[in-house]
Amino acid sequence: MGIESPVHFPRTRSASFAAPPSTTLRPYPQISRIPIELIQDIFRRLDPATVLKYRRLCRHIAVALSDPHFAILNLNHHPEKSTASLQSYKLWFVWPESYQAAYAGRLSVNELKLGWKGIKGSLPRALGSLKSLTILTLHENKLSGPIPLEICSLVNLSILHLQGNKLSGAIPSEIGNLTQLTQLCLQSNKLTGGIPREIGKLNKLENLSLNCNQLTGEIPAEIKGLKALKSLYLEQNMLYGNVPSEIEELGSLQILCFAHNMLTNLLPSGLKKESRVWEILRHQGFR
Amino acid sequence: MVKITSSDNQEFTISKEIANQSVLIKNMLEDVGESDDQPIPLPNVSGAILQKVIEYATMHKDDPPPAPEDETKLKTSEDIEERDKEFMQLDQGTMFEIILAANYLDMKNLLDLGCKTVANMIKGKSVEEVRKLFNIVNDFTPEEEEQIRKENEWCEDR
Repeated sequence: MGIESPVHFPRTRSASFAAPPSTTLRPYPQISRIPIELIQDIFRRLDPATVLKYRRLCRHIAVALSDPHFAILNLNHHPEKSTASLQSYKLWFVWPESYQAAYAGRLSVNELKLGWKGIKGSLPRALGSLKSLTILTLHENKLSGPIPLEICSLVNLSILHLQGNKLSGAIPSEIGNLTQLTQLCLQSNKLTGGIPREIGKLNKLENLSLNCNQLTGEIPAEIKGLKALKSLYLEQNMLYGNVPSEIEELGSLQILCFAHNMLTNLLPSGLKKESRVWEILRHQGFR
Repeated sequence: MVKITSSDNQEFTISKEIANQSVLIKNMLEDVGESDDQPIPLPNVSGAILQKVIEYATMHKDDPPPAPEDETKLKTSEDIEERDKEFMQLDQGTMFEIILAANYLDMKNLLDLGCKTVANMIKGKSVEEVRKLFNIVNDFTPEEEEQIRKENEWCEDR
């Protein structure tokens, strides 16, 4: 390849006659030796769905690719991978946290409806940054791990469907912050711990489904705060004690399911005989 | 004309339009002013690499000035011009030296070309293939590698 140009290469080697320049005499620069910023500049061009597998190449590259800043570089270079598409969403749930945060930072959505999508992974803590979310449905997927506290900062949420996954751990007591909720469906998971008292703050809640988990403890008396409640599903847990008589104050209640727990099968003392709740409980075998 | 010297004391005389493709040299020229006749020392770049860099700068001296930086524009294409592809037909040592030099000299287009070229070499290859290609020594303990492999479960087979 000739160099046709006005450039002069005088080849005047000044003063001392140094050895002819040759790259082979110098330490051979290797990809594993070049500065982190340049490693990042190279790898940010690769697909965000696969680039992190190269963390396994060597320590130096692992450091470069694990840097939270790299997630931003990588997603900025691939705007098509950070749109609100199902393909990107599926990645979101398996990416490491730095990517989850970078991705959430680019999202601007009011509704996230991702039920029955075969999504694997866990709930990103970065969900908490989608402040304008009003609907979050992720039911019937393969999500595991805990319900992150950050979800409880989505104060505009009116529908939260997480049923039919493998979520574990306790229901965070901060769930009481979600005062706009009308539907809270957490059934058919592996949730443990008690029903948080703070749930009583959800005075717009119409449907509360906590059935088919491993919840323990007593049904909190604060449940009386659920003024708008129409249906309450608590069956198939390990709840014990008495049904609180405060339940009578739930004037809109139509469906109430307590079966398959360890509750004492006694009607709450003080429950009025003509009340709707009395009727429902009698039907369920309470005496 | 501008004079520059490499780490191994080779002197090159280049036109100003070529020199200005390096933001580093451009800034230096602005600092020392027009009249200065002293060659600009570039202690981080060898003569052989500097020659390649000048070759690249010469090839691109008539390029239209880059459009105002538009970061929001989609620039996902890793297409490389044919002449640039030819230019990058180098042994790996030289290739990485050029990337380092482009970074030091602050030549965005050349740095981009170098990084693109390496990225294209990696694209679609397995970790083992990339290790072999670039002679990368696996310096993880077996336990560490297993740990990363676990963390990588979601992307390892893609």
